[in-house]
Amino acid sequence: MKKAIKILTVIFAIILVSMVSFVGIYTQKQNRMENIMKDYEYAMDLKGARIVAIKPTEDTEEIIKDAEGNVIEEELTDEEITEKGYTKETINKNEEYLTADNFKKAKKIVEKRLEGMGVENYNISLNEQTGEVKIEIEENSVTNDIISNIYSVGKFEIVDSETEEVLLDNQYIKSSGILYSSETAGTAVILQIELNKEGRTKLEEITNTYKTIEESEEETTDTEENEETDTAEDETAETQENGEEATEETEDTTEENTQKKVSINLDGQTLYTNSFDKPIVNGTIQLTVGSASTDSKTVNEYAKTAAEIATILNTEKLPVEYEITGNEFIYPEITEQTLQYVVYAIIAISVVAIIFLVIKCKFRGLLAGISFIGYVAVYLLLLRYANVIISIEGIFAIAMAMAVNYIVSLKIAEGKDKKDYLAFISKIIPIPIFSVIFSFMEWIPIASFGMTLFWGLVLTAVFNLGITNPFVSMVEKKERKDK
Amino acid sequence: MEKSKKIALIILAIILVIIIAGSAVIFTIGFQFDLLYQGGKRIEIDLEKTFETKEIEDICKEILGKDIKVQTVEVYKQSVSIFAKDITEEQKNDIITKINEKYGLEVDGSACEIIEVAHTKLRDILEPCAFPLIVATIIILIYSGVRYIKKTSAEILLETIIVNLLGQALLFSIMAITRIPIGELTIPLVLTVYVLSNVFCTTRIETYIAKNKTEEA
Repeated sequence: MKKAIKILTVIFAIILVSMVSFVGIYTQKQNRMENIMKDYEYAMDLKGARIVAIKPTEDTEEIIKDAEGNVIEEELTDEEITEKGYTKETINKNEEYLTADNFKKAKKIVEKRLEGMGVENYNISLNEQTGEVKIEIEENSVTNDIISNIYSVGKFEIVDSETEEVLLDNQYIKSSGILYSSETAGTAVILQIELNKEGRTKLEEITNTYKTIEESEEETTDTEENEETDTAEDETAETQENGEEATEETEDTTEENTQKKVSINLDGQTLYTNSFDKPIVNGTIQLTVGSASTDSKTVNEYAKTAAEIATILNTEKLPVEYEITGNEFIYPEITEQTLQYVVYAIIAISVVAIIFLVIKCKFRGLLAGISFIGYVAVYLLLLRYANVIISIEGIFAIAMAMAVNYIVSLKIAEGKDKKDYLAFISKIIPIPIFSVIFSFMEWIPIASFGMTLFWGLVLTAVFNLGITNPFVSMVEKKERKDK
Repeated sequence: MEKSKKIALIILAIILVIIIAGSAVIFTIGFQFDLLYQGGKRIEIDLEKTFETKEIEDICKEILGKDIKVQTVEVYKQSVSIFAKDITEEQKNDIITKINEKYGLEVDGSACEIIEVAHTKLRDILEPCAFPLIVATIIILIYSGVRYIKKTSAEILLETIIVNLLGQALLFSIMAITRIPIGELTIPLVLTVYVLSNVFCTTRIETYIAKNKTEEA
């Protein structure tokens, strides 16, 4: 009698958990019933993605050619062109750069930038004829920032502020990153650009040539209040070398005309204009982004800007100038209805499998089948509360974990001994190994496969040891007693 | 020759025949790609109201044929993206006219551009999972080496690699022969075959060890 009560209690508990997992818990919220159970987290193949298309910019110009195909430089009206027998053609100024090699290079750079910005879950494709790059990325609060950075050319230059002569460019950059510096006014964000061996020599030369003149230094006043950092109009800026503040100038300085200065440009936009207090010999340029602040939100904003610039500088400049041609959120091809069909298929297979269990192992098989339903219910709850991201790969992993659990349940129902379980575990050992390895991968489809499988296997071990085995064993004891 | 060995040889021969046939298909016709991966043309229509994807799909099938993909675009689900191998200006206008009639809209056809979509290469699809699979294979080889080499021989490591390669070759050959499109299910299938190939290897080794033990006893 006691055994029967125990069996019924376990069955009711499984029914309860199954109802919670498969149906949910509904409570009244603002005159409507709402499920308070946590929803599944889906990857972009199941919830949709932002699809961005970038294409080389068409910078066209009209040229006039004579009968022999020579380009005529002089400006002529349409009548004059016709009179002289010339022809007018529209050409793309970037034509020479629009090559398959450059397109492939651009795709690689975009990939590096995405990875630099911590985007691991993306799909990318290239049209080698047009150079169009299509990128699928996850939709979240930083998606727009990511998009704005992937197609920047990333042309870094240090130029003479008057003659615009390029003194140093991307080819001399080794790496870049951000640093934080504690100052009396708060925390300052520093963009650090480390140059390669040649760049180091070049920078030393530049810093010697563009050294701050002593007289101007005397008249210099501190311009800590200058907060504008990334505008061309910003004449004053802070540059640091090894934590020391470099020279700062004011617009009113009388010696300004004699003071040679450099401008640091990114994609033609001047980030800083200044001279150097002393030569930089270690090949490291440190630029303060914004000003020191005690407000964490402000510091984070500056850090974000600096990190974006650093990511761009850590990759080569794009060989072709790109523009956005498409930017939209597209819902997945796999609709909710398709997912429902998948669920129905899994249910159908499970029902057949449970019927097989019952036929093969009679009442023990039935209990193992009930326990299997409980396992699926708990598994689905676990996936939701362990924040496992479910992708199509994850769905395959769920099916795999269910299959492993079914085999274990079958063995329990058949009353196999410990040796048999150990032999089974030895055979499937690659599955737990892969589940752990894949869980640590950053690419979501693989991570989803690994995480889903991992939790499925952990639950298989715990559930069968704690519930299925004792539950099915109750019948065995009962049957013996009856005999 | 033992019966089990004969069966194993027959299975291996069948697998090799499938791989050879698959390779021939791959090098002559190539893989069949899912429509969204094979490239084509796309139009996007802003309906400014919610709609039934099935209804739009029916309209498009009438004009473009069966091989189309209709997807909802943007978070408010008021725009639709229609994808097909080819969409002409005339077909685009027909679709818009029919949608206007169906939903009582006045969508301007000239505002909808036909966008060319690039073909996605198989390499681009498979590249992200190459590193995880290489890492996993190295670790499983180390595991097999430590656990089994003393009991069997070093050949098992080579066998594990060959079984994995054969498994993947078989998968892609079957996909090529049966014209299963390369698309969203490709990676899950690759992973499943990969896991099963390794389980097959360990099962074979464990069975071999158990058999040896029994014979020794």
